[in-house]
Amino acid sequence: MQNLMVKLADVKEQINEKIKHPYLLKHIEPPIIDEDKLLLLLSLLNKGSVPELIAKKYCITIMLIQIALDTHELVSNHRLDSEELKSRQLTVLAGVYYSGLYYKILAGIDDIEMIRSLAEGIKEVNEHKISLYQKSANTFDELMNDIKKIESSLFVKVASYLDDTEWNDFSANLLFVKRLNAERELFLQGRKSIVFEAIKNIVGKNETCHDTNDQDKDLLAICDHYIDCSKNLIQKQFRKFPIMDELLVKKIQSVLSKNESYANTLVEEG
Amino acid sequence: MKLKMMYSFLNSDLTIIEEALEETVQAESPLLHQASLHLLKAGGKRIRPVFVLLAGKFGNYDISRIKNVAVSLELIHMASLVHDDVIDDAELRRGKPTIKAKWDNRIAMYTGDYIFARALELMTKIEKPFAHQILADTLVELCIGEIEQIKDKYNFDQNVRNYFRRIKRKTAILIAVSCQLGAIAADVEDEVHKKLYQFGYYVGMSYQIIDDVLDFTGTEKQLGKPAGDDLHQGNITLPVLFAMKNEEIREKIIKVNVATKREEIEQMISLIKNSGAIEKSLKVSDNYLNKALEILNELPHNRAKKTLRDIANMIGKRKF
Repeated sequence: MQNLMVKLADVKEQINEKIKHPYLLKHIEPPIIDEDKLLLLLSLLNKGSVPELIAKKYCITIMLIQIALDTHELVSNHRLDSEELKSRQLTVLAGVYYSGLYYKILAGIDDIEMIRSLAEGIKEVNEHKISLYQKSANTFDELMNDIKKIESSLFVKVASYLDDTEWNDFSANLLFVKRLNAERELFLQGRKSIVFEAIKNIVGKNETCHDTNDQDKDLLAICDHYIDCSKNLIQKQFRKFPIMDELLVKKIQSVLSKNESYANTLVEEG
Repeated sequence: MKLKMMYSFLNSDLTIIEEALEETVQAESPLLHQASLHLLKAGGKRIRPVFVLLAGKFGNYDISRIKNVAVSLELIHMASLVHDDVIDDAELRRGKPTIKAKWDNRIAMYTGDYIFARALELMTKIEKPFAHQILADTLVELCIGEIEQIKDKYNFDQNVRNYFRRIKRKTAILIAVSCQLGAIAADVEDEVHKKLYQFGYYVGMSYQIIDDVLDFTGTEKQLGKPAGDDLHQGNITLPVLFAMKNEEIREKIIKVNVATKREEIEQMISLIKNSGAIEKSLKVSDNYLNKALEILNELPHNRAKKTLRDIANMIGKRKF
């Protein structure tokens, strides 16, 4: 049996082969394969009873969906010149193309049930993406639920399909923390973070007047509270999986130690 | 006879389809629901569901089963329209603001992806792997067709074969597959669903060629866009390819680009119309239509067959 590292490289190569479309790749941002997500998937499928060949097909299809959804995130709203416009047009089509490939692979192995599960996952992701984009959440819990669903719906569908509820929660929390870490970084760098904009929006609904510096600290504190809670859950859940590949353990630890919480940042700054 | 009159015997089933379409886009997100419903209420001919239902009449017709195919294909078509409006930066569709115009590109992308997912989810109610393989191949082909269309813009060196391949992917294949999947969902024999695919393919090819002809012969009011717009946008269609057989006309046409003035496009339209290219294109369309009608002759006699013939003939005669 191949170890996880070899499998990861193999599946990554197969995904790259699938998304290789010379004309598309000439005009669009090259798709990024999220190795953390891929590794999680491989680990989940590795411990189940799914035959290795099918497990790899599942990994390829789920990552293709993820790439398709991520590609559509790159479609901008502003007016563009003709060459940029072509790139935007092809970005739309690239996302559609990768989604089509997911369906084609699963149809090719007659797996109608998995097609249904993943379609439900895509549906759910887009519902929560709209909610986040529109800043519809009225409470922090609602907002954080949107983020968690965006990041983990596909994985949760696979875990449910395999009847693995423990892994379901674990991967949802891990991907949630990973996303919050990334958004936190954007915010600290002074770049646009849709999550922090949404947190700010909820704060604004509840309070009237704020000093900007204080508000930034408040926003970070809110984000960190959710990161810390989820980290605690992950650590508890982590103990339930005694046999874990070394590579996955390292990745999990890397996500957990990615950002010091706001309290620690203050200590360092102080 | 109007198109809708031809298949009036399907009216109660088409109502079921319409209700199922509405039910399927009941999203949890109010905005997503509103955006999907906005598109649904903008209307449309629902020609794909009609083909699905008619093809289903060649087998064990069960509306509760066949409606899943019909709704799924219409949703796939709708999702592609939402995405196409972002691609074309279109403000209006069927006289109403597009989703990207009413909200923005990002909302359009989420809505399109959501509708597409709903379509596949619904399609999984058809537990025949073969049907999914056909649909999956079709979706990939459709997308490749759109990519090729962008790639081929202002490419005046393309030939008629390129054009046929492009319109097959752009239009004909989804009509063909609508017929085929409707028949498969009704458990027809292989021979029958293959013939219905062929019928849909030929009708679709004929339909698109006429559409491309009308771009030169129709008025702005009929077309909802200026005549010759396809050429101006760099889409090289059959009338253009035929007209370019004349070297003098070719020299002029190959200079067309996005900055070409409207008056020059008007001149090109006249040149194309006077070159005999329109008549030649219509002849090709007729040939496809005749092939469609010949295929029908090989199918069992029923009311659906007569309706398919009427629809095909109407497509052949349409003026806009």
